[in-house]
Amino acid sequence: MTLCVQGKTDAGCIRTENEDRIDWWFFGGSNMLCCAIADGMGGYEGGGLASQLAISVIREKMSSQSFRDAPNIETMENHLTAAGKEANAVIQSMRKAEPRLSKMGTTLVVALVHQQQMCLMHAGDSRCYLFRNNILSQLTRDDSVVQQMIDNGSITEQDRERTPYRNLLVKAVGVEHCLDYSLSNTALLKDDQVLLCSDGLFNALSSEDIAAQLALPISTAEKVDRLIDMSLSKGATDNVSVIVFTDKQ
Amino acid sequence: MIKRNTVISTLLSVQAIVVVAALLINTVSPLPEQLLLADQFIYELAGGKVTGSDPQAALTQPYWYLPAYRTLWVMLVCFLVFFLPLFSMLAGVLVVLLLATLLLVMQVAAQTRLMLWLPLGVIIQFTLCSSPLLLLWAQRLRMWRALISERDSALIELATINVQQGKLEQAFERLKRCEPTDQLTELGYELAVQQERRRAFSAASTTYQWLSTFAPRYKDVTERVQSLNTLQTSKPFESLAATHTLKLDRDDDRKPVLGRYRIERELGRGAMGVVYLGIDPKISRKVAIKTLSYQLFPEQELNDVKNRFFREAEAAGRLTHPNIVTIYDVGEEPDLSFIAMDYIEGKSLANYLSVDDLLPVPTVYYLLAQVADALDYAHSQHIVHRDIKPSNLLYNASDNQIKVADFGIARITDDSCTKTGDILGSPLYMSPEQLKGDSVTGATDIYSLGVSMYQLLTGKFPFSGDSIANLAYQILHKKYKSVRDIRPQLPISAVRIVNKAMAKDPQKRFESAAAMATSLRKALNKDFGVA
Repeated sequence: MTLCVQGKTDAGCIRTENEDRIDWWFFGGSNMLCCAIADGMGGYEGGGLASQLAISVIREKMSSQSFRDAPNIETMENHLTAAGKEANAVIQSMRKAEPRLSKMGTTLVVALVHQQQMCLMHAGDSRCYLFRNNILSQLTRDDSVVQQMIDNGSITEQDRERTPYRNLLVKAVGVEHCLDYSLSNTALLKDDQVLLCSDGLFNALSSEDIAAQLALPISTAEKVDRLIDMSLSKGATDNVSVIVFTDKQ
Repeated sequence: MIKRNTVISTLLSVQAIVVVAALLINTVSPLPEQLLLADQFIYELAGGKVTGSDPQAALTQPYWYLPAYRTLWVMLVCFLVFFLPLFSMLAGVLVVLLLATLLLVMQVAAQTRLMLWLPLGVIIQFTLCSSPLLLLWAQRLRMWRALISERDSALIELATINVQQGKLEQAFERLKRCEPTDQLTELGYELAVQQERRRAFSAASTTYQWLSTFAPRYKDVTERVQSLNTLQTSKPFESLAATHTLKLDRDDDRKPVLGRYRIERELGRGAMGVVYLGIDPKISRKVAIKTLSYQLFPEQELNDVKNRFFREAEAAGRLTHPNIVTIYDVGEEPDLSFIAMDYIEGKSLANYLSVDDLLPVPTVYYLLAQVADALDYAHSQHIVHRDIKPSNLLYNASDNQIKVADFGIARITDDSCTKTGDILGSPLYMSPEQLKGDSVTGATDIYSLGVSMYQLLTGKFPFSGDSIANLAYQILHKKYKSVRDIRPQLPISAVRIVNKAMAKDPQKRFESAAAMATSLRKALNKDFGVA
């Protein structure tokens, strides 16, 4: 298995601060790949700090994991959840200690890949997409009021951008004492492409736009660049972050 | 303070040189011969004969000479170090000359009259050499002090102007450079009080701390330092996610101010921030001051929010109606914007929503007809309230008057990108079109007034849900229980009016708020015989 990873983040067209943080790293003798995107919120320095904390804790926790035997899905999920809980606790305690940070929190999406197995953990509205056989499918479901409203039939996908609750999350890292991350796992096939992104990307680009870029016969780095450039050219109002990896077996 | 210390230490060091030199002269033995030449000179001056190797052999040196000589040294050094700098240049020179002459005369007299050998040459030389140094230094110091005092007066004058203009930081920067005086303490204290009133607590704390370094006993400086430190460490923002409170003081002169309004007490907390009772000191009018705390918004959105705030406040400020709360003024402070509006005695209708506290049905009809009048007037001015709910309807039971508050406020906050949901309230009073994000018209206010009426008549919400999404679903798709199912004694008109106001399709609601008002009044007349 040869994984090729690239990622990039940009403050977007309007914001001056980038509160998104991205990171990816190989560990366990380069057998495992972990990719993470966090989209902070909470104003002032809080947003950037929350996302930074989340990513740092995940990286520290995951890198220190030693998988003696070939890890199975269960152990992978357990390690991810433990790291996620730690990130939640760290941000929570920071929030409590410092009044200025009392509203900070962050979304988090983490993909842990070992051989053909990918475990996903997320909270909030940062997403993971799988691009397989020219079809883009969303592997995560946003933890947002809007998504719930769409799910229960209150509104349609078209109303998403207009409802007054469009920015309201129902889950985020660091906000509640107890956080249940959503977990899922996927078996990857050759030439699959996985895209992690913050809401800045999918709010600026349609699924078709994203799929069109991933379908191009260009390098992963170029795809990442093009996705960011394209969202900026469409006037991305939020911070935009993208990580793409592909399995060239 | 620092400069003063430097001056003192420099002065001390010059005087220290004098003291050290005196000690050296008295401890080094034997002294260099050149220093003793003066005694030789005085001896000859007094007519002594130079014979042999010891010219003074003919004279006796009394046993008390040495203790007296040492005492003289001590007295002289004390005089030079502590008293001489107090004289003016001329007086100092004269005193020193007089002293030297006196010592000379003493030595000569002892030699010629008493045949005693009392050599004072070294002491005379020392006086003549060190005193000009000390006198010159003292004069420079006086000039320096005069300059500093002139500079301080200018700084204090400028700082006073700064305080009057509200440029408190600048004032503090100026005051910090001054030497402590009563005037400085007084102005520094005034500055700290102003800073407190303007809620610059950390700056006020710094100012009090600075004052306490040189005037810890002035008024309540020490207590203020402590109380402000407690305030700052007590996390004032944490418990109130969206807002923080002005620190209120019982003393009128210390009460915080917003713009020109003196803050009396907190009235409550709204979506945007705290609401205060203020006094317009110019006309002694009570005002309610609604604050928009900038803390609620990410920095990059702040400008948008401010613009929206002032635009909406201006639009709402144009509304003049007996049933609409009048807006007097808007203003801005570094950490918040505020709207000053008519202060209404009484309570909001939110106080009459529990089953035991419901208002009489005719009163509800009567009040809501007035609210509908107000809405109709606002709609004719192309202003939609967007957030009609009982807590925005202020009722004064003593004169049966009702006023609608917060026109336009909902619009200020609902476009914000906040993800934590502090600002957006629950959708309990939201119309279906509002929830879907469709364009909002007067019909939206009619719907929300329908929900308010439902609640005022039954004490219950038409819809409930355990989450926003669930509630939204109910509002959009479900039928609520009829008001008569909850309270059978209600007249049929209650069902009719509520249902018409709360129709899911805006087209099916009352065509205008005026139509709803008419309907309410007709029912009031028909069902309760009230004209």
